[in-house]
Amino acid sequence: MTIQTTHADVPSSTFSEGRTLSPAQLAWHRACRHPGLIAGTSFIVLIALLAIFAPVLAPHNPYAQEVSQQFLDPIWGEGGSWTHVFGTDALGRDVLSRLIYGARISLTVAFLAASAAAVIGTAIGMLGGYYGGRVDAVVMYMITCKLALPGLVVTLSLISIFGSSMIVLVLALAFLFWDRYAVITRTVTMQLRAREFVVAAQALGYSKARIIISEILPNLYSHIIVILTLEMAIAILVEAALSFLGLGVQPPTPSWGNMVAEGRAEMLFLPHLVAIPGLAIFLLVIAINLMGDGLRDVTSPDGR
Amino acid sequence: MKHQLHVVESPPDLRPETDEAVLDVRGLGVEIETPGGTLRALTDVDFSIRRGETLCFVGESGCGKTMTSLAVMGLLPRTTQRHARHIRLEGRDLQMLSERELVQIRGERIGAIFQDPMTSLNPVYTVGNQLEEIYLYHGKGSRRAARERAEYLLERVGITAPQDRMRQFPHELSGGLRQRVMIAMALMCEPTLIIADEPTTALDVTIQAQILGLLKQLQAEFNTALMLITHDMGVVAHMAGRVAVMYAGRIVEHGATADIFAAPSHPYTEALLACIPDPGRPKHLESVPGRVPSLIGKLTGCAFRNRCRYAVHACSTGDIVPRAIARGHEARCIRPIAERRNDRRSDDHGSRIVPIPPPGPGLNTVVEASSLTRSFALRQGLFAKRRDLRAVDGIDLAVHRGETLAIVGESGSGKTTLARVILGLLTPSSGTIKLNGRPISDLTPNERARQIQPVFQDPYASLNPRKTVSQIVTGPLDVHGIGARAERRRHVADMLDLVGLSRQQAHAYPNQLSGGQRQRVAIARALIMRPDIVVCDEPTSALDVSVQAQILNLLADLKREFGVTYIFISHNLSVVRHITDRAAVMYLGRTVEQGPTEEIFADPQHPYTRALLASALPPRPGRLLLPQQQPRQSKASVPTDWSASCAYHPHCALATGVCRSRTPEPTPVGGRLVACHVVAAGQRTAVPQ
Repeated sequence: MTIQTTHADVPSSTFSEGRTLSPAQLAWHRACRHPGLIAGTSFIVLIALLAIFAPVLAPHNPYAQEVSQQFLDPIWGEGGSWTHVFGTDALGRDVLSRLIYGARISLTVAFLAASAAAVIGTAIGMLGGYYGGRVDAVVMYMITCKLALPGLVVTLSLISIFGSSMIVLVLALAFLFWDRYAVITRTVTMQLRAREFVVAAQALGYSKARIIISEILPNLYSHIIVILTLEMAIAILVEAALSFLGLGVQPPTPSWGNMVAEGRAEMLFLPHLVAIPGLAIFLLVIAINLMGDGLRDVTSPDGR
Repeated sequence: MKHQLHVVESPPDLRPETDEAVLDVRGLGVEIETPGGTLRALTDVDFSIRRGETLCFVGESGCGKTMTSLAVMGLLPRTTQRHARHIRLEGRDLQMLSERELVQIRGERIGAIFQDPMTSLNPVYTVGNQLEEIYLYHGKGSRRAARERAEYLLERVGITAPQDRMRQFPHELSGGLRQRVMIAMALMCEPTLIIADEPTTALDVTIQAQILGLLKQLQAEFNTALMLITHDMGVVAHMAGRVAVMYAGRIVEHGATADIFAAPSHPYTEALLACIPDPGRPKHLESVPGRVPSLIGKLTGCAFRNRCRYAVHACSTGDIVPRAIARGHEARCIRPIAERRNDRRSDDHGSRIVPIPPPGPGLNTVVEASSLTRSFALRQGLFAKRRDLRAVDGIDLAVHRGETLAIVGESGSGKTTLARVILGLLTPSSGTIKLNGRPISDLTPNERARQIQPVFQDPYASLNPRKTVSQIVTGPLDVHGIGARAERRRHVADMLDLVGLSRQQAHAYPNQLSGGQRQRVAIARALIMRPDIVVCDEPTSALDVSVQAQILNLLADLKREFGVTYIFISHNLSVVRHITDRAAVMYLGRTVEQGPTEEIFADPQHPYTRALLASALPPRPGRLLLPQQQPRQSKASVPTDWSASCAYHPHCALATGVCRSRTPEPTPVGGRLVACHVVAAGQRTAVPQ
């Protein structure tokens, strides 16, 4: 018997070569197996679509007042009809249409506020984490001061000084929320800074700005996205609370907080006027939290 | 106490077969369900250990060594499934026992020693507390008896003043002392079996020799069975009576140490032994191509065949069962050794490679460091006075073009600090560094980057996980705007070719690559700027030996290709001897000996160099020559102020009065520089070798 020793002759291993995935593929793979993430994201996408296509989807003009039609019952009430599925409010406006338009405000304010806070907080946190020493001392001082401020009171006074508009609201909320980004990005930056790929970048003569932006920042994205979702949930609640107090978006613009505030007078007799926007807020916040938790699970290195 | 060498007699390991086995494992398998299918982490593992015997498990990482020990102790993660015909400890099958009974057995009948002494002791309890706890938990006796036993064992493991040590917390002890405490802890209840999983991997060579010697002594004294897991063939050669070589979750070869080292019978064992750098071997090391296969799915045939130089068609079919080679020696290979001898593949690189010409005299100096010092502020408390820790303390060093200079030393000797200072990443506290004649402080980052580049130890930390291989390697060219876009791309493709990475791998992320492949990426990134000097900081110590050989060969090839100068930092003496031309031995921030590597290894002059070389374990069966037990005082290892003495004098057998009062200057001794008063004065008395 002749013995052949060429490698080509040997059938390759019958083990399925465990194909390894890139970080993004791995996260996607895990995401598809995460029920909480899928449920949360689906609901948010649904609300976002409603908000975007509000003019098409809303059955009525949300501003149109019809005093003769006031306080119509929703579909499950006694005099309910399909014309006004969720009934009408004190001024005879269609509740469903106002709810759909209100999603625009809630989502926009929450997203812009959380993103603006992300920019401020990440910049501050990375500076402190990367440079350390005096810079870090200043950053820590700023964070400590921020944590000591009674946030809502400051926001209230900012709005009463600058008047109430969407821009002011977004900036006030951003000011309220940047600290968590700063705390987390600062710590992670400190850890990354000691890693050898950052030392290698220094040895390659990369500028500090480049190291911060192109070496460290990409490693922070997953952390930032997770905080972003969690802060969005809080922003929605705060926006609703401010609107309820009359300091948020001004009537007649429909926002979920405004709708709760307007329904308050009739709460004992027509609880659905408060319950429907309240429930919408509740569901959206839950969905965002589910998505945030899910993102944290799928992007963390060990998938937990 | 001084460094003295004495010999530990090996206990008679191969006993008559009638001796009852302490641990007898048959048909052990461990499976893990993964989304991709069933992962067979262990398959059909059979072994037994008798009283007083040492069985070593050896193999590359991921081959199931640790898994075997965890399966024996019943400490596998919940997601795994274990099955075995039996796992008998002193005749009792551990599979039949309840968790409560197992808890009793662990610690009492089985003592365990783990790799990392930093994490295996609880930081919030004193050493004494933790030792006594085990004794009391297993109901072996009163608290007083526990204390007495703990003190006795601490003394036995070579810890001075055990009463004082008992009151200390783990963080107050050095790594070596902690590992001694772990050994004492494993022995508290007089176990019949000790499982030691890489017990010395985290320790320096001199400490490793002490700990291994101690283990062997105690094992002989208490007649304990020892299951030792290691990846280091040197440790195996000096510790084991029998060896089990593991590959892809099964034992591929099993036999007496002497037999396996003299005539390895499985091609994997042969390859593992061949890739260890050793004097007398060709400069181009043999290496094992490829990597350990994924264990998902059902295996038919031999798991090693894709990396095996002798593989034939028959290797891919059927179930390869262990075959007896000689009495007590078996291997899972269908081709007997005699048959394989004839068809040794002829693609050996060894002969083809032109040896690198050693640099001649009068070459120009590329790196010149003079009286280099770098200190770090050390505060011991909020209001304590600031002290300076001199990590690098007055080093003079010249590196010539085209040579490979080794910087050798143990942890804490200042090697890495020195490297970072030379790289320009840390500014020296005093002294100067010149690269190609210009002070490094005058260079712009771009100029510096084109002259000197690093390769780091940990290929997992040294690559940005969010960038692809080609982004990582192209980065330096982009940043410094070198060449046009197309030119850069071609350049990077050439470089990846040179370091042996495929086109496909250029688009992979680091987590998709093996350790060796990542290290190739790091090397490509360092060389893309065509630097004169590359500083390699322990470039192979995180890799398996087979991969280490590949990387060392690659570094040698690239040197021929580009004519780079290497500064090679390592604690691995066989690697240093293999790859470097000159060596500088560091001890606590100073160089104690500098000269041609071969001369230093053949005839070390400085007492520290002698102690260091004596602690190395060559991969040949032999007696353990070890320095006399000598727990380092934690104070002595913190180099705060040695300005008026020789830093090594507390440990030196030759120390005289002058060593305590004056710093020795490097003096030429026959072609090298030695910083030792005694050697310099030519008073070298006969030192026990």
